Amino acid sequence: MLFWGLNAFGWFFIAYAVLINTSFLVLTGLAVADFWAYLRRVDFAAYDETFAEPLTPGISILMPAYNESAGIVESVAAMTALRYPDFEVVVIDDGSKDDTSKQLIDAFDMVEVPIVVPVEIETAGHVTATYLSRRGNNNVLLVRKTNGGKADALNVGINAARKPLVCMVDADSLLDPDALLHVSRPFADDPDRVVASGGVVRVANGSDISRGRVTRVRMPNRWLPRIQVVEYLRAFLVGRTGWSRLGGLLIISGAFGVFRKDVLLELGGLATDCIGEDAELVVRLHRWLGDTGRDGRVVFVAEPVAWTEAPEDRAVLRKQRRRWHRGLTEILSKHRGMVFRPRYGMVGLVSMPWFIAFELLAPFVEVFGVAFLAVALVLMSSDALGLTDLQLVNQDVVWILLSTSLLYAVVLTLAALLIEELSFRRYRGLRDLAIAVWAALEENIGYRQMNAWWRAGGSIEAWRGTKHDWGDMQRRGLGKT
Amino acid sequence: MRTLVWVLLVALLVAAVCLVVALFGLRLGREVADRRRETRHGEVRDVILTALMGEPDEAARARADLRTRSGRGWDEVEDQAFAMVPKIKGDSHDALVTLLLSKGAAAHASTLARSRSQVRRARGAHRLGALAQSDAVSLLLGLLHDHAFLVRRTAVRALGQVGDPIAVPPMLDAVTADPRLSRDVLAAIGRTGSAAAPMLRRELLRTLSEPVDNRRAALTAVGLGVLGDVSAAPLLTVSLEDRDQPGLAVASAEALGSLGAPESVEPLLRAMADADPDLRVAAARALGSVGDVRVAPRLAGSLRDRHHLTSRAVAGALLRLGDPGLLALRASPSPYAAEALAVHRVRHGG
Repeated sequence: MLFWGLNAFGWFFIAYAVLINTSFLVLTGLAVADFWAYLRRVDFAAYDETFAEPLTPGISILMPAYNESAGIVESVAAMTALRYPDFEVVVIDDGSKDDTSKQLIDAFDMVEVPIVVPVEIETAGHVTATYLSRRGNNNVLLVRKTNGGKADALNVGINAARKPLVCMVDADSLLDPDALLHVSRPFADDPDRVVASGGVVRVANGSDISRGRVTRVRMPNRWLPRIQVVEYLRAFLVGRTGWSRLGGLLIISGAFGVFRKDVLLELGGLATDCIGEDAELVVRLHRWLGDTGRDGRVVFVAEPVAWTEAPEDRAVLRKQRRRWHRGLTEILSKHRGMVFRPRYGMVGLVSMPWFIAFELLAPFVEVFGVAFLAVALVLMSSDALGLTDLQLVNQDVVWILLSTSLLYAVVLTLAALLIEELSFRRYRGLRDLAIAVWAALEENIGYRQMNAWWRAGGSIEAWRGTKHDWGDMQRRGLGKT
Repeated sequence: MRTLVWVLLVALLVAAVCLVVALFGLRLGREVADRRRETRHGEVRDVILTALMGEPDEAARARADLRTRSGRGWDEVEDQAFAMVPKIKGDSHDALVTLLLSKGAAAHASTLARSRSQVRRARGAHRLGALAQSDAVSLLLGLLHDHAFLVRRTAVRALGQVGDPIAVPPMLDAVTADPRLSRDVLAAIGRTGSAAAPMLRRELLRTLSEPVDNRRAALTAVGLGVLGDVSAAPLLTVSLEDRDQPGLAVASAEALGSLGAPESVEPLLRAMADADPDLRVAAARALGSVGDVRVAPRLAGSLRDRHHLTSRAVAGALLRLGDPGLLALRASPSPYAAEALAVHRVRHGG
């Protein structure tokens, strides 16, 4: 009986591993098709001509900031140097306790100006002052407000935005110089249907950074960042491109996403009662499209890159992953009514069920799977050493489980590296490749299991309903490592 | 069962090893290839630049060198030359196009444009546009019906570079069939220049009598504004009153603003009372562009518009009207007036 029970568990974990990895293999195939099409058309995309065209939509870049004194000036300076014909940078200081605002006011020669910030979206915090830069194109606007959280700061930013498109970036994101040109292209190509567009987020740790720009892309040496590089490649670049190709993109990263302002106003802005406000916004957007019967598209563009600093120590990474998974849990609970509803199209029928089965529940399955493997290996060893003769574990099941869960995952990560090599080739040199291949292997030994444990904790936190905050991340600072 | 385990293990291990080998092979191979290509490209680029901008004797030698190249040697020259054509102007541009034409680049581009591969068709259209030869128009017009969006887009852009106004109606047909081409068609109309204006006026007139497609109509109006076709102003003031085709009135207001036509002031002021806030915004901006200072007092009344974007657009328009506008702003209690004045001080001092 115990034998059958243990093996039934084993087969369950095998089936789960095969399904999750095969679904990712399908996404990888879709991403390949998308990259192939993208690379073939990029020569004729006429990005340079965008500057002179009358239909190029203006963009308001929203940078919510809370205690970002250390790097805010460099980040904003880099934003102002982006290549785009019509944009403004709106920094929303969410009641920082440090001198974030003063740094900006001094660096950009800002003066207090009574800019009207209409309350089109209700906000918890209120605007205390607005400042405009006297430098350059006067396109840097600082909005100071009382503390209300990141989503609240973004909502104030949406109210203050004076352009038809709104680009949300983290205060510590570094954008490629042409990032706005690329990410806004879908809006110009299909203005009636495209409502949101997201760019890819990559890990900047280890790369050379100068004046808020990534000047030379390198693999980091430290183990946590290097694993996150391949993890981001697989999950963000390949995974999201695949979902976008399928028409079921559920997440646009808060680090770099562009939305139509009128649509954000219709939606009432970002949810302030939810920790993953960026992902929640996109899910709510899909819900709104389905409920109103509008033909809208949420797209992912793999070329524009926002660089971000990945956590380098376990405590910060743990906090980040718990927060991410807590956010996902809250979102999927809040919008569970969309699941298997044909009116929400691919998102309701495929994406959300997939996210519930293979993202929300995955850490729990993985934690139990690891426990099962541990028990099985102990029993097998005990029998092999002649200490016992229980014969409770079918060794074949254990080997199949190890193959389908670990080896299959390594193959998928290597495939993601190959796609990167065939498409964007951001990393150069054999040394960096060797580090990436090593990271693809070591990701599956220890890192993944640790991650699963943290993520499971995030879900439990969400179900308990404990209080959450801005998610203040302690960073070393890009370019200062 | 045991066999299955081994097959699975071996298959996955082999896949992993193959991927690793492929990764290292590709990285090494492509980096070597990149270095070689860079060296070759550098050499070809130098010869082309010398042919275009070198001293007369050097330039003659470089041109002779380029003319003698054939096969893959010429293909490399052609690839780089086509990449350079849009980036250079004047005599150098003409010399490069002449060189390309002398080596049969137009025929090669036409062959590419008829290829079965959509990428080659797009490349062919792109090259035909760069060469800007009017005898390519019929081939490019045919590509407007291509099943591949990439090809249609490149053909529209190429037609703009050729600049033959006969292409305007077919391009508008293309945008009716696929709105994603709007921006490209507008860019092509802009490149075609004033020669496209009569076609657009005829189109707008037809649109007013028999509405066809909102986007097409709006694009026609915007196109007239882009071309700065002052003679279209009376027609645009009529289309400004059109309420049957959503978007046409807004586009007409924008176009009238671009034209700066004084006769459009009264129709634009009437549009300021329209229920559509987008039209009020467009009309306010247009009034600012037209720059008739007499409208300042009437425009100031709209600073209290219930739609805040209209109030902001009105404040911006008043700023553009100079002193009468500034006076109107100073007299207004509207927060948008205060905002505009403060922004004005930041930008212009004082």
